[in-house]
Amino acid sequence: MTMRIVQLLPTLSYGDAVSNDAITLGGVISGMGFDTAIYAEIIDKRLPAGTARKAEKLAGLDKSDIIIYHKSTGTDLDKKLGDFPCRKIMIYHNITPPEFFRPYNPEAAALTARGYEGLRRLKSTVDMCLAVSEYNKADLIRYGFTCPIEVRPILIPFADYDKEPDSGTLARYSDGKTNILFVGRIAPNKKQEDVIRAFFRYRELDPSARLILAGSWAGFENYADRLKNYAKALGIADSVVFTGKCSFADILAYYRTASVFLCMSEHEGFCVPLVEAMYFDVPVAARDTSAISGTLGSSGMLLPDNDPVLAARVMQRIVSDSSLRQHIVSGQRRRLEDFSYDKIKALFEAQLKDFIDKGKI
Amino acid sequence: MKGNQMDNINTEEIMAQIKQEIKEQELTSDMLSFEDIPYRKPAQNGSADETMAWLDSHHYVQPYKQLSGNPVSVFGKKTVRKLTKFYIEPIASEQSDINANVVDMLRYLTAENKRLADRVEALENDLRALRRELSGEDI
Repeated sequence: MTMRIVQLLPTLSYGDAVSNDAITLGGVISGMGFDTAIYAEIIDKRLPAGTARKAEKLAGLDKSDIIIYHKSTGTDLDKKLGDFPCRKIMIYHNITPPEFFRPYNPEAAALTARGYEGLRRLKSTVDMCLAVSEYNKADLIRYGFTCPIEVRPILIPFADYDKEPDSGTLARYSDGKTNILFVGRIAPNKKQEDVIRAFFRYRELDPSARLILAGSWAGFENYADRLKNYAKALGIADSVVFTGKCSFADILAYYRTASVFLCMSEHEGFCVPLVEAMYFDVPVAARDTSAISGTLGSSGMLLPDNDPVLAARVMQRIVSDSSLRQHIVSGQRRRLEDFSYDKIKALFEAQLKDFIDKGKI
Repeated sequence: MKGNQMDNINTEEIMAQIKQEIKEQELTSDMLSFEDIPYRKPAQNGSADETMAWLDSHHYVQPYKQLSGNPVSVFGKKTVRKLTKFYIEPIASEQSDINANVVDMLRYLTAENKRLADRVEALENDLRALRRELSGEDI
């Protein structure tokens, strides 16, 4: 009988990094010849039918099977996982510390606090961890995980990025103005207020510039309102675009029209948009926090703090100095090779095979 | 030529140059603070323990925020602060006292509520046992 390798996660959403990773890995596991499926408690209806099954239907696993559990938030699955008789791998995407969410959404804060409680429980449940960054690996060690921990960056199907961008969005923002871009949901850990502060200072140097904050604010409407009011109070509301939830084709258009990608986030477990910016040859300036420097490697421009003047001046230099821009883009292209689909796929296959072989001993 | 130019680029040096320029031009990050923008604060609808912890840690009203900006601006703000101190501090202090007492009372009521809930549960268990006895279940 074929070994079953199933993936389990609380929510399979449309377009988020964890869900995309699970879906892409599903294809790889299937390609290795295993019987596989994705199980989730909540399945986004926008996903094609059959992408995943309901978590409560996960049954019939035996000792020779494997569950790959994606950990990124609080869920009852942390407890239930221990009831399955098979071996378990946890893919750790990191959990946003609840302190970021508490002022705006206490429920979200309670959920991530539960995520950390679950993490403590999981150290005696899982047999191996795959951390998506060195930063996440260090986090697991700090939480007392003693099982083998390997690093395996998120598997990104770059072919999707070659799809057609939205023509309307592309035309709207290809007007010769400097476009400063940040992609990511509107959430307090991403520190969009620091992006706005940096942009405010940048506008003094390039008055026609535009800031595009691409991402949904679902769950953080009050934070989004506060950001919009902040832009208004600074007198730059007309130049700051809050896209809200947008299509993949729109995202492609934002990257294609961006002059600089600016990230001031204080907490990231990997930060897929940095790699996306690399793919689209958009020079990156990013604050050196959490997993950011690990993902950038030696590419991009790392900002030591959230000083808006420094960030503005760095962006101005990138925009005005073509040699520097070319130097950054070349570095990013080299770094991008480390995240190539084939490379990460081969790494994951090797890690999975090794785990399976060890189970046979 | 362009390739050679690119090879000579050192981003750390460029960062140091930019920092030096900022220093020389005495540029500061002084601007309206995000903290000064009001927003809709949500009810603390997590668990009761979390809500108590939040109230406990937020009951003190800090009358002043950390001053930032260039030395002239900080001096100006300090002057305004000193001039309004007689008015602001007693209000903030009184509000902190009220908040502290409210937190104490909530803590007492929470403990009392738990004690009463335990007592009701014990009485209900006794009642069930008595009913079973009366209906002859245990005979």
